[in-house]
This record gives sequence, structure tokens and C-alpha cells, in this order.
Amino acid sequence: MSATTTTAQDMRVRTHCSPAWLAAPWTAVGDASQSPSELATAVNNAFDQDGADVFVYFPVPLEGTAGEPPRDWDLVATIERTRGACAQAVRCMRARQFGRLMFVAPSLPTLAPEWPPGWEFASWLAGLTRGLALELAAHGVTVNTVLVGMDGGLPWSPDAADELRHAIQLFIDRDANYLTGQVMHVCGGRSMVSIFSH
Amino acid sequence: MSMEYSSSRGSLAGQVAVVTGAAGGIGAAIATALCEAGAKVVVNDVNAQRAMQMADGLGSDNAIAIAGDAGRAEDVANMMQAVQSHWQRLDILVNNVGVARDNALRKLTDEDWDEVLRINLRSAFLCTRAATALMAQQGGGRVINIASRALLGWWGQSNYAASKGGLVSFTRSLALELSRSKITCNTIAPGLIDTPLLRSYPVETQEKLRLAQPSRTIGSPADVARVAVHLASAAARNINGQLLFVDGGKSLFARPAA
Repeated sequence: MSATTTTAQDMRVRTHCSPAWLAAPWTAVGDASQSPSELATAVNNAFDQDGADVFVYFPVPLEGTAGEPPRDWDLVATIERTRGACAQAVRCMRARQFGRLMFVAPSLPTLAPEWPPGWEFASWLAGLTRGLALELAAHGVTVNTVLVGMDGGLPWSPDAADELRHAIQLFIDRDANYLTGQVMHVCGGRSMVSIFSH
Repeated sequence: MSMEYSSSRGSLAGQVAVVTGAAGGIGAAIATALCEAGAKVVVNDVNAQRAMQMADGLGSDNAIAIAGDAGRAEDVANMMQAVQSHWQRLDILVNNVGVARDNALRKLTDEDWDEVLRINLRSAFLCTRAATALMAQQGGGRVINIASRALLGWWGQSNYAASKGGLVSFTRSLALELSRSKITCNTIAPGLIDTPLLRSYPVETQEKLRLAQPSRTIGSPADVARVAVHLASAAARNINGQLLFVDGGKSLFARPAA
């Protein structure tokens, strides 16, 4: 499952997005039903073939042994899959001295004290974003994260998907060379009570 | 597939924006970008001649100049009154005006402390209080505060850093307070930007600063402006209380320039 699309700036965009409301406009190259190894293969092959300029990745929480996500995320597996999925993209972009790596994740778990995996994941994702941004800045590659407010896996309003696409476009635009290492919440201010909004 | 970008021409059509400190540098770039996106722009600057030149450059149908000190309540009241009488509405406020009076703490005078806090922080308070009263009546608006990467702190910039850090806390408080009025409030913190101030430095200093950047590049005022236009757009109605550094990653690692 792979495809590329073109933005208004003629950039090759590749996404891995599970939620259909986000994936539909850009065409997903994978989905949450794939195992981590299958997903990594799909994404890595896609990059080898097409050398996309932009990689938008939506880390989907993997369930643990029991219970309902996100309360019982298998945090380590989720992190490992996220890291693996973007590794090849990073190598390709670094070699080409240009790229946009974009993470999109739910911000809602960061608000809920009963969801510690959400806290840990948000913190890890922020750290990954900033660390990669610092490492890749001299290579023309920017790395940013948008955390989006969601309820039950869906955006909080009918217009949210469009707003999120615009937010992503802000970061992946070819002119956005100077915007890197940022973690932006798109949630109407609901993240304001969380330290992760800093 | 073509994606409409929020800064595209006409996306802010029918809206009115006030930009303080808009006669040069980042403020001028923001005013220009807002104008290109379709907004009517009020060019505010303490330098009347430069404000008029800037507004003339944008076109008399698109911009007006209102000279005044945004850190003085009387000037702000006059400006908001002029905005109302000229365009009868206000949708976007960009608190951009700022000054620096750098010095080590032991040499920092009361006057330098007060002046920097007055122009950088009090101006935002005065303008935002007046502007949001209008925005609330209209059913919403956007407040965009221009801080600086210096808010993280730097030698000799205690007054400047305090004022810019204060802007961030001011923004976050207002984001919570004004969200019910459908007014969003966000901060942009530019890093090293190619402005007349930077160009006034010796070439060797400019090069040292560039090399201290993780990106090894210096940003342009347009880099800041495009973020401001996005935050002003309808697509940003759920972006609230955020702080975005536009600094090529410098805020991630404060390596000294020397």
C-alpha cells in the first residue's frame, strides 16, 4: 500500500495515517492493522523508491496484553514502531539535504492523569522531535509535531481535519526552513492545563 | 493534489489587523503578509514618517498609518478609536513592538528596566485589552504576540528576557480567559532574523551568530510573517495558547556564538 501525492509546492508527500479523516486527502501508505515489521518494510521501501520530501507519521498506540487503548498501550512497542518507521525517511532526507518530518498524535491523553502511557508517549515524542530537529537542522531537514485534540479517536469538531491539514502544511511548506523542533497543540486551548503544552 | 494554504491571497479578506512596531523589520514583514492575504492593516509605529511610508507602500486602500507609542494608554486609546472610525472593526492584533537596552544586571539602570518592560510588555497589555473588547463584540479575533528566543535568558538581557517571557505567560493566561469569546492568543518567538539591527553588526559577528545556529542559517522576517498569517487565519481557530519558536532550532540548544 503506497502512494505519493503532491502539494501546492510540488513536494512529494508520504503519510502513514491510520485515522481516515486525516489520511484521506493525502493517501495513506499503511494502517494500524499492520504489524510493526510489515509497516517498517512498507514505509522503508516507499522511501527507497520515491524519496519523498515530506513524511507525515501518525504514531498509533499499540494495545497491550489486555484492556482498551490508550489506557493499556504497549508503550515500548509504540515507541519502537515510531522510531523504526521514521528511520529510513531520516536517512533519505539527510542524504538529500532536504526534508520535512512531521509527527501527528493525539493531545488528549496528556490531559488525563489516569492515562500515564499518554503522558510518557507525549513526552517521548516531544523529545524525539526536538532531538531529531537539532540533529538534522544543518542538513536542511525540519522535524515538528502537531498534537491534536480528539475524543474517542476522532477530532473534536467537523472542521478539525481541515484545520489539522492547514497546521501540518504550516510546518511542511518548502518555505518553512526556519521552523523546526516545535510541538504545537491544535486543541482549542485544552492542552493549557498540561505541562506538555510548554 | 492541490492544497489550499492558509496564507493564500484573499484568505483574510474583509478582516482588519493592527500591527504595532510595523514600520520596519519583522513588523513590516507581518504587515505586508497580512495585507497580501487580504487583510486591511493598521501600521502603528512611534516613528510617524516611517509608518506613513510603510502604509503608502501597502496602498491607501489596504493600509493606514497610525503613529503612536503603544506603551502609552492615551496613544493606544486614540489608535483603537481611529481603527473603529476608519474600518469599524478589528479582527487581528499583532503585538510586535519591542526595544532592547542590554546590560549586565549591576549596570542596568531603573530607566532601562522600566522602558523595556513598558514598550515590550505593557504595550501588549494596553493594546490587547482595548482590541479584545472590540473583538468580543464582533464574536472573535486573533491576538499574536511577538516575543523572542531571548525569553530563554541570555547574559545582559535580563530586562529584555523578562519582558518576552512575560509575554508568553500573558499569552497563556489570555488564551484561557478569552477562549469563550472565540479569541485566540498565541506567541511567536523569533530567533536570529535578518533585520537592519543584525546587519548593523560587523560581518564577523554575523558569521559567528550564523554558525552558532543548528541550521547554520539566518531566518528572514518572512519566516516569522508566514507563521503569523497562519495563526491569524480561520484554520487556526483551535490553536490557542501556543508558543512557536521560529529560530532554525536555536531554542533547542543554546550554543554560544563565540
